[in-house]
Amino acid sequence: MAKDTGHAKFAVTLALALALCVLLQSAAYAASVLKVGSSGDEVVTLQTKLKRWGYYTGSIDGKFGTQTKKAVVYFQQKNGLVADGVVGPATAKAMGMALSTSSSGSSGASNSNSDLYLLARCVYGEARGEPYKGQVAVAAVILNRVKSGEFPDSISGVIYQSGAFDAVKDGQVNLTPDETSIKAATDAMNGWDPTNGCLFYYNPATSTNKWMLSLPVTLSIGRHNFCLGN
Amino acid sequence: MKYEKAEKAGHIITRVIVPLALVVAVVSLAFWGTQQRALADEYKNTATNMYKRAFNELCTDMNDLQTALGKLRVVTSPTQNVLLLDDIWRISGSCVSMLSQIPSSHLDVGELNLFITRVGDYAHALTKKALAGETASDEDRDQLDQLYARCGEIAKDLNDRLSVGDVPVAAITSDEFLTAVDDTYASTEDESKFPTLIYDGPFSESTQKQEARGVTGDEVGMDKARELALKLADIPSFDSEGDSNGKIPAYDFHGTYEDGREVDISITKTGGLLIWLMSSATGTASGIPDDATVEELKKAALDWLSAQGYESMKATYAQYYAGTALINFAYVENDAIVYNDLIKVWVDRETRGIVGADARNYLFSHVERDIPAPTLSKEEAEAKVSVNLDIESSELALIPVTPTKERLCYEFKGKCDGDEYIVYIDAETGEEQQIFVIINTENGQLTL
Repeated sequence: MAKDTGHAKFAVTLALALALCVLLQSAAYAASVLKVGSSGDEVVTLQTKLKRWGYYTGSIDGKFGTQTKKAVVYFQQKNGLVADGVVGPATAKAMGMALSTSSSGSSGASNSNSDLYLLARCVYGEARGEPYKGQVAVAAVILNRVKSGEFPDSISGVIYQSGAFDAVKDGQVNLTPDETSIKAATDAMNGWDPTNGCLFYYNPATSTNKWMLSLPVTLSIGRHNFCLGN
Repeated sequence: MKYEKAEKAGHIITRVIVPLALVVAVVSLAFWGTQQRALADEYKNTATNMYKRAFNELCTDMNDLQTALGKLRVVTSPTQNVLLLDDIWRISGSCVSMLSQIPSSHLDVGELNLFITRVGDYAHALTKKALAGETASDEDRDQLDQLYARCGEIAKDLNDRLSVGDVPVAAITSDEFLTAVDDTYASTEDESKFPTLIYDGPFSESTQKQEARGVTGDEVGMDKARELALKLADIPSFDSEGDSNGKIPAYDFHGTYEDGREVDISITKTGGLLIWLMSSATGTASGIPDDATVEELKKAALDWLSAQGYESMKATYAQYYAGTALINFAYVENDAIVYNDLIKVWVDRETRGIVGADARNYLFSHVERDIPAPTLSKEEAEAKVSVNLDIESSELALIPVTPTKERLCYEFKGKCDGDEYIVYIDAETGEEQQIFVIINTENGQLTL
């Protein structure tokens, strides 16, 4: 009997753990929705759209309250959608909105097409926390690559080149850049190149790339070593 | 009796509910796992298909490139010649674009990329030569033969990889798509895998290795450079200093002003010249200010330039952002604007102080020039401009037509259907050399 109880306890714990695991995972992978209690930039977009189309009369405060819900229900009824007052993928699509699929990394859509913004995102992903000069230097290296015949001939080509930037590989390039990285990107676009023509940089503390480590170092800024190339 | 009941209930929990919960958990986990797996497969397939498409197109482009280079060797008509050269330029652009879409790193394809870029660049230089009435030299013919041969080898290699299915899907996670292992496209120290091309274009070897022609004078030591830098940055002392051997060897200094703003400054080792000075503005204003303010900002920058010994500079363009006015200045000689000799100056909009300067362009291109007098009169040149352009102003300008060649031109600014254009007419031959469209932005302004 005692043995039996032991088994039971273990089994119950295991079952609970597994169930919890499944629940957590599915929650993490579900596409995000906007509903009562949601807030943020996406709600602002939602309210702006609803207001423009005359479904919503409240203030655009970025908070999903009962008034916003009413407006959403109204929109859903008018457009033949399930009128549940929740903005899921179908409703978002009907509104021409993109919902972020994870909590981090939603980017301001307005600038997403411009090279400057992409450059700033790469700077933010690669070099936030570095001295300002080091952030401009990272942007300058990207622009020097665009001008070099050895690399793709556009900013996006250089940034998304395979193996070129860690921030692209691990997705940090999709974070929303701060003002400093946007200014650093602007300064680099306007011609400031603290590296004086460098094409490469690496962090000597973490880099394992033998070829990179063998390059003569032109200068160091913050945690990065910058190199002209061979 | 009671005890029996409790025991029975215990049996129900251990024998029925627990196994049931377990089964439910395992089944849902399996279901979820399968779904995730299917999703991952779908993503992987999509990515692989995109890579394969790019690689296929790269192969096609390389074949086309070789074909066009082959035709070029037997072409006789000038029109066909130019059309073929233009084709080569276009195909090489497509090649480079495809190359950037396959998952291979710079180490694997950098030199191949450079080679293809140069083939296109070279063809473009030949087009210009042909249009100017020059015939291809023996040297050009030799180079074309070499290019034809090498492109053929590359095309064959790429096609072989394609036909044996050596387009590794694993490449999605590895950095070795075109396998640096066999060194097909990476040169060794003594031997280049690609022929050297001699021509005048933006990607040619001579251009990429260009020296800073404007950097002249005696070598200066760290102490002298520091003294100059302190004066330029207007700061009592620096926090840190160092030196760097970039394209222009320099001493670098970093300091902090009393209000916490940082300043970075770089001085050439040869001649002790300012390369750049970078700080930030005290305010955050943006947008174009009123005309009187624009003039004041311009004057502040001009005064500063002249204090540094840069006389005869003319403002050409200004941008207003982050509390600064960034004004571009070009050197003027014999009434002609020399666009290559460019210095950028950042002026603080509140204090009118100089918070940034960039003289690199000037240092790279400034030499003593012998600017000829224009052969054509302004009226003769104006007659060459399209009738669709309502000309508003004109000036003489020395503009770059290739990285090493400058031409004296008349610059005509005017409007067509509300859009602004700048047209350059060669002051000697009357040829149209260049056309620019002016794109006005919220923060930018031509100040010519």
